[in-house]
Amino acid sequence: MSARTRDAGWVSWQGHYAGSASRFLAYVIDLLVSSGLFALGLAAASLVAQVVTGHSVNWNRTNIVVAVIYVAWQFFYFGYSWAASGRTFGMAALGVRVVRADGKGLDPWRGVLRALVFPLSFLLCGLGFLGIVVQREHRALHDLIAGSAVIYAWDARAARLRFLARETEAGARGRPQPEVVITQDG
Amino acid sequence: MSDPAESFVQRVADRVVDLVVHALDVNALAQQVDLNALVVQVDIDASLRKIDLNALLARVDINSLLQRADLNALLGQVDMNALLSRVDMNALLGRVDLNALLSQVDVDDLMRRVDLDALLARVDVNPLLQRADLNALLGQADMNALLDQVDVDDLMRRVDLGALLDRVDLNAVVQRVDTDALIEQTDLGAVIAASSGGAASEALDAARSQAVGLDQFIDRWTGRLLWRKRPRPPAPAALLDAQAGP
Repeated sequence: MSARTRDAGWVSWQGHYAGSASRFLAYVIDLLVSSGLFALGLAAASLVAQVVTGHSVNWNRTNIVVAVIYVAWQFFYFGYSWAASGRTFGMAALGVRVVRADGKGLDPWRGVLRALVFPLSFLLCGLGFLGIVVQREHRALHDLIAGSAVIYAWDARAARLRFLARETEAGARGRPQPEVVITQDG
Repeated sequence: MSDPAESFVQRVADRVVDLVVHALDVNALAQQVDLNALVVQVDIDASLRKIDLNALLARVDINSLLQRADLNALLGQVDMNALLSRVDMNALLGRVDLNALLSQVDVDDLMRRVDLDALLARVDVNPLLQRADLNALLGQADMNALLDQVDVDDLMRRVDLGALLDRVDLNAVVQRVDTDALIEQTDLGAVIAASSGGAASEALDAARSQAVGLDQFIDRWTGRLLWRKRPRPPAPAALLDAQAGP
């Protein structure tokens, strides 16, 4: 073990405001997951109804009832995730988290509120999301209303250590490894 | 001298002298001699010059003479103060060969006779230490030799490591550790690699880092397009404070 002698270019981005790409990818994952789960649930419900009634049941999202349930499910999926832990599955995968605007843990009611006002960003022709790109704190319309912000919640330092560990292993085997380095200047 | 006449004359002369000597009253004659006048006429210096003092002293038994002398009485009559006041002590000491003198001294025996405790009890150590140039003293000390004599094991046994570690800022120590070098130079990397999952965590790390890179790219270009002068705050205030931390 030696004292640090070279510049540690990598830093932990944990706690910094998350950017648009990470948030968009997280949302895409969440959309796929939530829709997939809903489709599975719908298929299961259709099967149960078919078994119980003996008639062929074909529920899909064009059905108004199913559409309402789908919207409610989306509210539940995002609202519960944000209220419970401040992150959805997609956000966990991309390593981002919703917090209060001052950086403290998100109150459950803010999580629910954020889920409720989230559609507003869509309803304004997507302009509500523009804040993620241009606003100084990367806050979208629903963030400004709910008093929330999205930050990186993954430990880039730990990832760097894992990368170094893999690099060491690969070096021992003579296999090249792709560089996974987070630097201050991106 | 075999002449009979001469022998006869000789005998007569001896008889005459003998008769004259017996007839003289030597004491009376001596009383009539003025000895002072006689002594005045004697050249004492010339007489003494003729005396071989060395031969004379060689015949003197000095030991016997000293045994007969009452030295105590003699010294009792000497005025020692007056005597010493006339002695040039500096000149006297200048002629003394101190090295030769000290070589004859049994220092060990001398030190055995010294009561060091009593001596040290009379020493006021504080002013002594105030006058001592400890830096100069330590500069002359052979620290390596000194440390060679130290029983480090015994020393460490007496150290309260718990109290010592309580005073150490381990967080600051850990922050100074070059973790990259640690992982690269040890088997710790293999341990981390084995304990932190395989392809899934590798893909996740890659996806996250790529996404962050894309975030930074978009952020830079947005800043340029908007002519943003002031940099964005990197994180919420509470998290910035936590990162600045102790």
